[in-house]
Parts: sequence; structure tokens; C-alpha cells
Amino acid sequence: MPAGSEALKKYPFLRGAEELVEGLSLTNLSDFPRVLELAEKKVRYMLGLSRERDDPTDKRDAVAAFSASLAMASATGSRRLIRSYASALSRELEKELSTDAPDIYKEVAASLGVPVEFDGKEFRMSLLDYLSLKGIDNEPDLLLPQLKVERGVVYFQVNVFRRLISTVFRRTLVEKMESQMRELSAATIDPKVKDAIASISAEFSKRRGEEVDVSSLSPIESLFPPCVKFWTSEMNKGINIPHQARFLVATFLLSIDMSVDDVLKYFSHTPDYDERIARYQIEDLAGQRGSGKKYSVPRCETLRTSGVCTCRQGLCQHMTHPLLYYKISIQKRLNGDPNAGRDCAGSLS
Amino acid sequence: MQEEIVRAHFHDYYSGINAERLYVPDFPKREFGFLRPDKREMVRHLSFHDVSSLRSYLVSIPVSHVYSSTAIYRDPSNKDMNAKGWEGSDMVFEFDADHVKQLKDKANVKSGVLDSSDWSLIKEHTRRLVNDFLVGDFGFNQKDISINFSGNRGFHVRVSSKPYLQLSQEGRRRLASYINGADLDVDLIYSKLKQRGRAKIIALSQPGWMSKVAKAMGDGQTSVEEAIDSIALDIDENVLLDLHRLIRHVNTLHASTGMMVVPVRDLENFVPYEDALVPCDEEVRIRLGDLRPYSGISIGNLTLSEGLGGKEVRVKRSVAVFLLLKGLAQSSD
Repeated sequence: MPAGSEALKKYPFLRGAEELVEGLSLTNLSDFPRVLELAEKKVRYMLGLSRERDDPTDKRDAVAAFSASLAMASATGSRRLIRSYASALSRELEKELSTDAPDIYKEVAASLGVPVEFDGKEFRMSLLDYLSLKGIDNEPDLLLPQLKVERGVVYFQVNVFRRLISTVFRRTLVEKMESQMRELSAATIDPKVKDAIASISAEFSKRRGEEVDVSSLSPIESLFPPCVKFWTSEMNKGINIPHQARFLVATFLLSIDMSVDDVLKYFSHTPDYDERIARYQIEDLAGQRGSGKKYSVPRCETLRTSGVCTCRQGLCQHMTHPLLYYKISIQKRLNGDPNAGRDCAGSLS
Repeated sequence: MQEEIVRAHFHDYYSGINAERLYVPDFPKREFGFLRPDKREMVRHLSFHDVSSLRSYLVSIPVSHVYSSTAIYRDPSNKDMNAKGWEGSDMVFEFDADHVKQLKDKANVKSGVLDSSDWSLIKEHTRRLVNDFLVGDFGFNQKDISINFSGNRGFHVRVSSKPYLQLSQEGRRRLASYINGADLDVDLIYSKLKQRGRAKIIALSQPGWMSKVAKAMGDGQTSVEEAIDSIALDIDENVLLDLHRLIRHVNTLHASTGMMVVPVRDLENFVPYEDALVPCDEEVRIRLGDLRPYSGISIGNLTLSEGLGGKEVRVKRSVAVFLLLKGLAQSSD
């Protein structure tokens, strides 16, 4: 059943919403000036670039503006902007939901692929559905031990479920926008729309500071993510560390533009160190051998799964990638924050 | 001579076994692996159409550990893991004595010979894993859960539930972190304990970790941390997360003990050093070594004691094989 007008204005991503805006894209967006205006204003407002809020009064405009705003954010090509926009939208969603009766939550959850039942007091879903949810592991309140669990059913209080929906929403938006970003071809974007996107992008960079190009800086060890600090300190003590941890350290150091020789120094204290073998392996990771493929730094999710993640506090609670931690810590240090890079510092003795 | 005794033990066992006992669900879709006791060479990426061909193979090979995959594959014998065609994996929770913190530093446990109190503790942990976590919290059906004695120092609890076969590593990690308490927010528990009246009663009776902690704390003599410690189970997370894990195949022999990897139906009354010994009438002569750390432990009908050290005894072949492989005796013929 299609969602009602009021619901679609608040939640323009509900099931059936996309049918309302079929055919709308960045190629023809300027043919719909009101939608373009709404979308641009929405991105600006949500990113804190403007205080002007312009809420659509028509459900078709609301859905179209929402969809166009995601495409515009994707077209900036900035992962940082995409993440910021997704976070702002997810915070807004949580706020909107708190003003609504819980009955609508089920519909919102369903549109995000989260099957759930509501018994008038609490939400419940099967354990298998819960285990299949993506992107909730950085939210302590949403982890299984904190929840009511009984005979294969997981229960959520209303406020906790609201958090769950907004967390899944954020993840869904990031995935959608990143995929749009990869698929977009700049040549097909309408020039008028391109101007709007360029202006948003420039203002965002100005407001938040230029994105730090970590490879242009000398390595700042004190700002390395806790996992990299931990495993390099273990190696310094002459301890043999697991393969996955070596992979993390090597790919991380290479990705901040350290030379193979400098990376080798970190490994030189391990008990089984053999320079010839280690050099071969690091050159391989750097893409200097064989297929020429340069290996990426594993994501936080992978590090947690393989037991290499060593910190889930502070900034790490919100991290998806070790390089992101490093970039943010550098930014914080530049802004004068004395605690930058000090997460889980006590456990590194 | 020792080698001959062990070889005969394995050969006679596999020659006489009813091949049906080697069956596991989706048998032809499992990958098999074989490891010699010196652990130098692993033969893997094998598969068998039926249990009879596995039995014939077991009779023909030297003494080996025998493993099969927790995963099912379209092409289990393909050497390229990516081309095997993974269709799903059972969940296996491995419980070994060295994963029980009260036991891991005991001398007899380190050398792999457990006394009855050690076994009681491991069985108690296994029972709690099944009843409290797998059935009570996760709602797995008892018929999907099987417990196998590992043939050495612990148990494998296996969940073969169709809907969970394709559960991701991330989902499996959430289950592991629930059981070992890694994701538990202690501050949240304290905040619930601070509530008053009806709110506190409701909070503390919340099924899952909260009610377990409240129950373990009893009338408040036990701290929150102690309660958590008494509930959390240290399962081997790597085993559960590894979608391509090979584990000991049911009703084969453990090559470090000669004991059977048997299904356990009555955990409480299961006595490993009786029920997992291969039944046999043949006796052999062995000379016992230093038995001091193992006094009072019975292997079959032989009760080890300090006084027996250095003496020659005639024992059932399965008892002799266990002691020979554990380095607690030498063959005396």
C-alpha cells in the first residue's frame, strides 16, 4: 500500500516513493527548478552551510528533492561530505520519529529492509534478522548483550529501536551515495546542477577545512589509530603478531605514503624477521610486484571480525576505517585538540 | 612395537566400523582433510561420494587425524577455495579444557590427561552453552544441536540449522561476543541496578544477559564483574567465525589419543575415558612412566597412581594406545 502524503513528506524514502520520481536525474534536474531549489537548500541546511530551511508542501516535491539531494551529494565526489550528509539525515530521521507514534516505525523499518513487529510496547525481530543487520556494531546500545533476548527473538524498547532505524538508515544512505558516486559520469550532469554542486562542495571544504591529504604529511605516530599503535608496539617488544595484524600495519603505513624501507623498520624487531622475505611481501602489498595490485587498508568491520581491532572507545566507536581515524585525528590536532589520537591510550603500555 | 600397536588399533577400528556411523548431513558436499600425527603434511580438498568410500580410504591410509568441513560446497574437492562454491556452514562452538580459565594452568590439563573434576567443569560449561545460550537465548531447536566429544580434551557443539547456514562472519561474531560477554556494557548494568521499585524489578528480569547477571549476583554478595565472569563462556571465536573450518569428523579416531570422536547424547553421564575408548578384548603389555601428576585418574579399567610408575602392566589395547600416545607408557614387548 502506498504511504500517505504526510508520511511521505516526513519520510520521503518510504516504499513506493521512488515511483513518484521515476525519470528524474542530474541530467534533467534543471527542468524541475523547484525540485532543484529544494534539493540544494536541503543539502546546504543539513550540512550546516545555511540556516534557511525550505520544507516541501507537496509529497511529490518532497520525494523528488530528497532523491535529488542524495544524487547531488554523491556528485561532489567527497566521501567526507557524503558521510556528513548521511549522518545529518539520520539524526533528522531519529528526531522526526520521536514526534511520531511508534506505529509508523514499522513502515519506516520495512523500507530499509528491517522486518519488525510491534506489540504496542516494544519492537521485536527474529535473532537471524538482527544478526543480518549491517553497520550497527559501533552503537553499544544496539549490541546483543544490552538487549532483551529470549528464544531466538530480540526485543527493543521504542527509543532503542529509533536508534536502530537511524543507524541502519545512515549506513543505507552512505552505501547508496557511494555507489551513485562511482557510477556518476560528470559529463551527463546538467551545467546548472553542476554549478550548484561545485558551490556546495567549495563551501563545505571551506567550512570544515580542506580534506587532509594524509600522504602529503610526515607520519605522525601519536595520531595513528589505536590498533596500528598497539600492533607496532607489540612488534617493537619482539612479539610475533598475527598475519592479519601485519597486513593492517603494512597496508596502513604504505597508504600514508611511507616508503618500503621505512615500513620495513617497523617489522625489523619481530622474532622471525627476514629482510629479504619481508621486503618481498611489503613490495607486493605496495603493488610493486606481480599483478601490480596495491592492497587497501582493511575496514574496521574486517578488523573486528578477525580480532585485530583493539579499541572500541572514544572516536573508535564511530570509525569505519583506520585511515579515517588518522585523518580526523590530524584535523583535531590542527584544531588544537590535546586529546587527538589518545583513544584507548591506557591499554597500550 | 609402539607404532605397530597404534597402527593395528586404527586399522582394526576402521575395518570393523559400520560405515553409516561416519555419516554427517550433506556428506558428499563436505571437504575432508587428513593430518599425520607429526602434523607435517595435511592432505585436504578431498571429498567422498558415500560413507563406504570414506571407510575404505581410512582403512588404507596411515594413522591420521580426520577432519571434515563445517561448510558444504558445490565442488568440495576443488583446490581453489573460491571455486568450491560455498553454500553455507554449520556453526561450531569448540570447548576445550584450555579454554576454561580454572583449568588452563593445571599441569595435568596441559599434558592432556584430565581428572573427573576437570571433566565436570567442562561438561558444566558445555551444558550452559547449550541450555542457557543456544536454546534459551538464541532459540535454536534441540534437534539441530549435536555435541561431539573431541577425542581429547573437550567437546564440539554443532548447530546445523538451515536458516543460519549462510550467516555472515559478522553475524557469527555477534553471537560469539554475546556468549563471551565481550560487547557487554557494564555501565548500563550498573545504571539498571541503581533504579528503584518496579522499574528495577522489570530491568533486572529482562531476559538475556541482564537477568543472568541479576541471578548470579543473588542477594548482592557477588559483584557485577564476578557475576559476569561466572556467566561468560570462553568459546574459541576463530572456530565459529571460520566459514571454511575443518573439524574432527564424527566417529573417527583422534590420532593423539586413539579415542573416538563420539556423539554425546547424555552429557551428564558421559565418561570420556570409558565411553570414548574403542571397545576391544585384546590386551597388550606396556611399561608405565611417571604418573605422579595423574594419580587417581582412571583410563578404562586402569587407575593411574604414583606407585604404578615404572611397572609393567597388561591392559586393554585402547588403554595402552592412549597411554603410549600421551607419552605415559612405553611398549614392553
